[in-house]
Amino acid sequence: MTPRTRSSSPPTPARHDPRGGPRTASHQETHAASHAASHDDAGTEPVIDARGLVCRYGSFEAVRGIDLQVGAGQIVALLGTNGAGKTTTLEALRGERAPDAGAVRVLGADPRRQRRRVAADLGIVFQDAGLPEDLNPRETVTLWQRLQGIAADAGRRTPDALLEQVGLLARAEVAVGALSGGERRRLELALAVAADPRLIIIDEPTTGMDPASRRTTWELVRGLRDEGRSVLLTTHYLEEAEALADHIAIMHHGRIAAAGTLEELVAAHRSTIDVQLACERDARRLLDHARPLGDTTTSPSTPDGRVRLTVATDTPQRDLHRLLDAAADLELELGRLHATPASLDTVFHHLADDTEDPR
Amino acid sequence: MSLALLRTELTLLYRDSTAFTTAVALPIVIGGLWALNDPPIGQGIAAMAVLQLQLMLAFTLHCLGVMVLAARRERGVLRRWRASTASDTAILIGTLGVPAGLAIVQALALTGATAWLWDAVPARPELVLAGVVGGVLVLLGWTVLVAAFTRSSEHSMITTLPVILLLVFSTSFALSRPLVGLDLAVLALPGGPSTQLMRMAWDADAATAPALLSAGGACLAHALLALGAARARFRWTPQHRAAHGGRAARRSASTSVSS
Repeated sequence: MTPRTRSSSPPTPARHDPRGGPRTASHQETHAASHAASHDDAGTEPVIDARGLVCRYGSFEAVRGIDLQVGAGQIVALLGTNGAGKTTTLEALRGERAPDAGAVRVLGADPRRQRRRVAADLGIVFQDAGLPEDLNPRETVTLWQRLQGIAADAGRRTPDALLEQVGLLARAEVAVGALSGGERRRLELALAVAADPRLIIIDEPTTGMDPASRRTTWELVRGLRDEGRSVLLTTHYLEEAEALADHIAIMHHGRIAAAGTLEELVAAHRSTIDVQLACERDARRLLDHARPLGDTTTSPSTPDGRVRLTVATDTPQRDLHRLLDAAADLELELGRLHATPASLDTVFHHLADDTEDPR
Repeated sequence: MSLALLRTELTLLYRDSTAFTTAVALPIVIGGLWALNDPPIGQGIAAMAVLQLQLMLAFTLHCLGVMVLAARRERGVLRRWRASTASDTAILIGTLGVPAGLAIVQALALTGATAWLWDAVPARPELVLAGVVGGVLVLLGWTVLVAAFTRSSEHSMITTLPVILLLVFSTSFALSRPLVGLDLAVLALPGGPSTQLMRMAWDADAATAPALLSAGGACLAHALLALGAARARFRWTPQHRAAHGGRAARRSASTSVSS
């Protein structure tokens, strides 16, 4: 996968940089070359290849020139805040929307002009199912296989086998309208794999599911990768992306603001240590010791004048000791103390919090 | 693929008691009650029969067809079907095949009932079928076109009215004109050509080859014109998905009836 960004660094609050005064934090700039090599090395064409994709609603630019590639056998998670442009991107990839600029190839074809060719090898889980409520799951899967051109005796998995795979066989004759939200999502998954597609696009795979169903669905998605299929999924759940994805792309304000493996994304962000001090004077005294450790910020944290000092560091354990030693030497009383290791949550909130929507 | 969808639509119609009553039971009851009235005199029999047939086509095919298309789109079903390898034409045939088939069966049943009760057997019954099929073709075009502008199944109760009124007007206009020669004004109206074909079933002397060809050709032309207009406007995705972007978004989200 080669999700990469063309976005410029948005303005953020000034920070004290130990390497030279205040600086503006930039989004992680992830470029194509390193990830693209994985496809080139394997000699395989990406199953999704979007370049410079732009989608507009009137004058509103929902997707602003993103590049996104998904390689064979990968699970790629597209994360983003509400309105980031994920769904619009998926609509373009599914061929439902014509890009206003840029090019989209899915499975080597134009998903809009060559819809039927792409559909033969593409499974889709929509955000809202779009299934007739008066049919039952068995009838629904049977119909879907016919629409995908699979004859009843074609040797493919039977509707019952597919329903069993997603844990719905016991509900095979219940009307779709009477299924729970989670059961409908699992029925959607059964449809998505009914024609043995090479690529599956899943919009919010576990929305509405209880924790047990979510785990089952995760296993199903991992199983798809084990069978050699590619999966592009969007999700609001960071733990879902962490649990499933080989690569993660984070969309923000219509652009891919960061992309890479989980390790790459997290590595670009520092852990943080937060301490609360009684007053501004105490904060200034401790700041002198904290500055050499990493980026520091101070901000009033309570109405009674307490001040929060935050240190961003690559070595949280060592620097936490140093900070505590310094506080002891200065005889400062610390209020709340938090040490937070860098995680996808850190990356996501860093991106989501610090920019105004320019659209 | 169309057959699989047709079977599914029949199942759905059977399981939806409201749609079943509206589409199957109601037209039979209304048609039956009408047929039980005292028969009209002379040419009035053909006129009444033709008007009944056109109204039946309008309600069974047009109203039900627009309602089904709007409901399927509103709930994302059309988008789901379109994610398969089925062609757009196959999806539309599969979705509208049931209303169209029902309309034809009901129209023929009504013709049989009026012929028996009013003792007015058409001289050329095959022209009733030709007229009904011609009317179905025209209305299929209009149904897809009107569905393009219909947001929901409830909204279809309003959007189908203009076509019904147009059909009643054009049928009445055609019935008021003599059935001789080429009447361009009649042929130009959507319900005109099929009305002429049906009238010729009872007035066999007027069923000359040029008259039949012009009426049949006009039916086809009306259907193609309506489908052509629908092709540019028809949407497969629910309107709310594009609504926040206004007109440009809807234009962007619209897709052609092709492939």
